[in-house]
Amino acid sequence: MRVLIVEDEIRLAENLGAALREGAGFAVDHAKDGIEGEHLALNDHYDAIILDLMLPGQDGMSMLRHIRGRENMTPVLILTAREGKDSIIKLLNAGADDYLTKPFDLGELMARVKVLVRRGKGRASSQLKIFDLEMNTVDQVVLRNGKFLDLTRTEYRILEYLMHRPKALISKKEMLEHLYDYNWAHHSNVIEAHISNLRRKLNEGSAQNLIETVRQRGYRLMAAQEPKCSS
Amino acid sequence: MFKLTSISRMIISGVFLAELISLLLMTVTSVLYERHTHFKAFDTMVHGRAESLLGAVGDADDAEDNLILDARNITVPEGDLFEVRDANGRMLGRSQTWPQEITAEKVLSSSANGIYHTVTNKADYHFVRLDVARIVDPREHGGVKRNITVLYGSPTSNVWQEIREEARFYSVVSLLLLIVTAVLIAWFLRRALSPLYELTSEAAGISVGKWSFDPPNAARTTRELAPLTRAIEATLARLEQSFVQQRQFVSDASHELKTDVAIIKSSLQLLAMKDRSVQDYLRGLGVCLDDCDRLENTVLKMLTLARAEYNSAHPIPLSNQAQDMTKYVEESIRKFSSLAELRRVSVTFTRCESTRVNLEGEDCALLSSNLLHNALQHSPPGSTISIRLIAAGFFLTMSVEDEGEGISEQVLPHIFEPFFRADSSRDRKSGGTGLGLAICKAICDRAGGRIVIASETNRGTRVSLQLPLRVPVEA
Repeated sequence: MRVLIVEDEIRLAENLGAALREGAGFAVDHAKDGIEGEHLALNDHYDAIILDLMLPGQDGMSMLRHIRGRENMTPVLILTAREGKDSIIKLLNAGADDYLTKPFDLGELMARVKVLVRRGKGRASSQLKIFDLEMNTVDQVVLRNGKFLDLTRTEYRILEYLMHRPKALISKKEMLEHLYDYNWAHHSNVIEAHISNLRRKLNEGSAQNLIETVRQRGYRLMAAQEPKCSS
Repeated sequence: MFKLTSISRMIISGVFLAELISLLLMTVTSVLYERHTHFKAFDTMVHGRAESLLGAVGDADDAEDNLILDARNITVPEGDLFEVRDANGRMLGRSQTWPQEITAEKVLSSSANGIYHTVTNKADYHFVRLDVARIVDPREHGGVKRNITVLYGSPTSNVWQEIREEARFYSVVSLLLLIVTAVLIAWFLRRALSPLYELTSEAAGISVGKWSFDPPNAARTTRELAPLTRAIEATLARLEQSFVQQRQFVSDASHELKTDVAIIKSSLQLLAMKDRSVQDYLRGLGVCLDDCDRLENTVLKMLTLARAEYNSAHPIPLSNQAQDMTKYVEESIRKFSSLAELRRVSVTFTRCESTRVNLEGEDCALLSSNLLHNALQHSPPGSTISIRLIAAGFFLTMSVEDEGEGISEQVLPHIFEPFFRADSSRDRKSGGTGLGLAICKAICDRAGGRIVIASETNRGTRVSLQLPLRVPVEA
């Protein structure tokens, strides 16, 4: 998952970024002002946006209106230091999905971002299950057939992204865009190596191959074979 | 507890009093006039009755041709008194109750306008005296001329009765008029004052949450209320403006503080998120301490600004001890010398002869260090900052000029607003709170000086202060 933080307060952005990387395993990009933030958000690489209201360039409200005006569906969490129902109602009506007032609790912020991410992918629970494969996104634990799988950070992130969108064909490009921030060197064979390791770990002790490779197009978590497999 | 006075009550009672006095005067004068006319008519009537008595005087048919008063021809109203005598003083006749003390001589001597006014028989009487020549037996040799004196008196009680009734009539009518007009005045006053009531209820609706003041049109077009309406409007506009400024300040201040607190809190929570090595904890604590320093700095500057603004609103006598600005400028140059070296910026300082100003020492230090620090932050490496002190007239001009990127025209008008930062992220990182120039302005305002800022993009910025010079007092 990849999150965009639009915040002019460098120290705060640093802390948020560190927390999201360390605690949730997300890739994080940071924009210092509303203009840069809008530009990045419109790339459509993000699974959630954390948006401060008071920004140089253009304020958070205008940025939100602009990206919603461009049909950008990325869930947006607003950070505000102002209180008052009016501004909150205005924000929600303008297309914000959630808000937190400063000073906020870092744990709460991460929980809310995770909610926005999985809601954005059509999931309601932090527990994901695709026949015998189970994932707890809070504790970042993966079980296959009740057996704990020891995955690396990147393997977990790849699997998390796939599990949020089962049956969907996900291109290597999309995976790169959503799993790595801009500070990362983009090499598509990195993904291939990780997928191969992940597939090996998933298939241990089970005949069913869960990750299907579609040549030249991408990868798919095979949920369609469920009945055949369970028999 | 004070007593409420009412303008409308005062107007009503004033008009009522004037009306009462005029009605009273009118009643009295008309009663007096009526009395006069009534008595005039009464006296004429008394005269007439006296004359009618003459008809009853006749020849007595005796040798001396005496006269006689024929009692059969006399009809006098009850209570009237009469006495008829001839020239010799012989009484021809009189009413039965004629008082002895009334004599012809007395009536003649005491009369005013032919009327003798006295109290007799326990009543008030008007008497007249008639002296007439009566021709007796005009058939025989031309008759005999006899002089007769008639005294006639009539009680005035009836006249007084009439006057009393008239007085009562006038009083009742006046009273009725008074009541009717009082009601009319009260009604009319209420109508006339209705713009005032509307204005009051509109003004009563003003609160901190609702500043809109829409005075009724009638209040604007009423000569007496228009100045009040305008005064309320002007006062409200000023109040609202200062209130908005205050609210803006509080809101900005709380935003700043919340942001600083949010940073500290998130730093700590980040540190506690998982187990770390001792080195990581120590590094994290160092970061948290830096964040705390920033919060402390913000709070200190806010307090400084509050103090400077409070003092400019409540001028206190400045200290007698004049401060030498040169000392403070040199001090700040020393203080920031390492920062200047780090940024490879050189600072030059030129001064004039007398640089003593009417300011507190603390304020001098704040002014010079704030301006120099600002200039340092916006100076590119290798550039020069020049500080100049020039005395002109009663003022010392202190200018701090840098060769930095300058300030754009859009930003310039806001530069003295609290918490304003031209480039928030960069200024934040270098420890700026956005309060430095606001503090400088408050200090200058308080000292009776002024601060101006001139800037050219990519050429540099010059901040100039004008501070009142300390004029040496000859001992």
